[in-house]
Amino acid sequence: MDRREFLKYIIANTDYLIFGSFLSVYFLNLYYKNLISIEPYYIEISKIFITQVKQYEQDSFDLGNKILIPRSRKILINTIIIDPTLKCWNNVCYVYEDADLTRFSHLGKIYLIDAPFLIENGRAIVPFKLGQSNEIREKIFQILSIGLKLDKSDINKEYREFMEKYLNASNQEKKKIRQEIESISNDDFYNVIKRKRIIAAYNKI
Amino acid sequence: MKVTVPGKVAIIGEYLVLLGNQLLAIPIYDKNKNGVIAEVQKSKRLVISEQFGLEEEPSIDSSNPIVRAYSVVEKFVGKKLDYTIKLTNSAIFQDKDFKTGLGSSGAAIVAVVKSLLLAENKYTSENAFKLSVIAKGPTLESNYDLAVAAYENPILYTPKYDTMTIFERFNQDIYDNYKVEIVKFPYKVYVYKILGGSTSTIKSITRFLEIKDEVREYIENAKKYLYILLESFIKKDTQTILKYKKFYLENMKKIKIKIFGQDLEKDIREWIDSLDVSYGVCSGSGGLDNVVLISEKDINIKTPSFLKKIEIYG
Repeated sequence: MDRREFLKYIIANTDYLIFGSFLSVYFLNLYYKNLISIEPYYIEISKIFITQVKQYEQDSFDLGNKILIPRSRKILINTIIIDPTLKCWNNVCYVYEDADLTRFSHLGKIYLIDAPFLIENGRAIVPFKLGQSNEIREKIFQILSIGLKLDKSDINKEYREFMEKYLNASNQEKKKIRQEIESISNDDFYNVIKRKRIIAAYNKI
Repeated sequence: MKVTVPGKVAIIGEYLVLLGNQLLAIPIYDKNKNGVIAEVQKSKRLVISEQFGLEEEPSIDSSNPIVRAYSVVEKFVGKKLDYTIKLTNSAIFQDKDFKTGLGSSGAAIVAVVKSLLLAENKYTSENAFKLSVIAKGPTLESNYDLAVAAYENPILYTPKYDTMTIFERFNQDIYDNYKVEIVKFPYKVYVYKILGGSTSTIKSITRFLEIKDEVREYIENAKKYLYILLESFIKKDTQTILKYKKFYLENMKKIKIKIFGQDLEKDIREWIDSLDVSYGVCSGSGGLDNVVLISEKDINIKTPSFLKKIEIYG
């Protein structure tokens, strides 16, 4: 199973996708551009507390496919999410080194995508490249098979479709998406998302 | 028509409220019992405020929550309104050199909401608070300033969740995120601005949320004393307050976030210790903005050079 097949398998079978900052921003970007209707909310039923945020302190980091995230974009995420120790939406989680993944177990089927972690005793310790070794991949499969409950809600479907679209895109298309995301200023991004939230609440009055 | 809306002081529970704990807060008026004043006249749709640099036609798309407040009330009453609202700040909120941190921006949002609801005979404190929360939009602040301004009384403020969760849930069950109870607060209150000390509330809050896990031990300790003290304040149980206040403050001191300003904590502490004040001090909500003395009796003391007394009502 190559990387793409592996990811497709994951997308088809997961309740929650967990991945790095680029794809988090990718979803936010889709929401910003009205390409998905539902904001990637935080998970409501669980908190994932991360005790070490070493990666966050770096100017950029490798997501396993050589995409470097500029610091400004990480600040963007921080602007939206605010708490740098907690990055988690409904369906979309942003996990740092040393995240205690055991807290996820009751949520359902969870997969680590794009910036997967080596897991030891339920704790993410070392970021590594997906597909690096069969042994590690097997380990991920084992962890991800625990306590699973498949959720086929439309919300998940919407994200899955876009995730699949992104993963199936050619390198050139991916580059274009990245450029589009980078071209939006952090302020614009934040203000649009904030305004969408206010209007959603306003419409419920 | 003219309405006035008070500022606020957090008596106990500041910072801990961000984690979903209770907070006791009181309204603050100037010596003429004014706060933010909203004057409403039948005229074209407009919000005007010199202090906030505003002269704007209401729209939910406005970047200013004070302006959005107008549109939120229109949605609530189900029609476009034709009033001009002019806002004026009491001097307790803003001197020419500094902002006092007593909550003028929150009070201004509530002032717009309250004045329009009164004009349309739809006013209740609860409506004023909830519509103000929507106008303000997603924020990591606890919004207790809006609650005090809307209820215009001492309140026991109980968020249903921590502010992160409320931020996340912003347009979900927005009305159920807070519980506000009016309580008695039969004490004298003296407010002092710390000269040279000013904080950014949002920076303080963000910093607190960043380090909350590192200071978990102190937070847990402070929480224990918080609940004893909240009950004691409401029961006016002086002995218990005096017994536990110092333990609470000792733990809170460990998690205090200083962003700007001089470190006057030692001077302030020494000054307070030299006073005959039975209940002592609370800080400003944003951190090192204000010192507030609470006492059962009138106190008459000289203001030290690093503080400026703010003349308040009552």
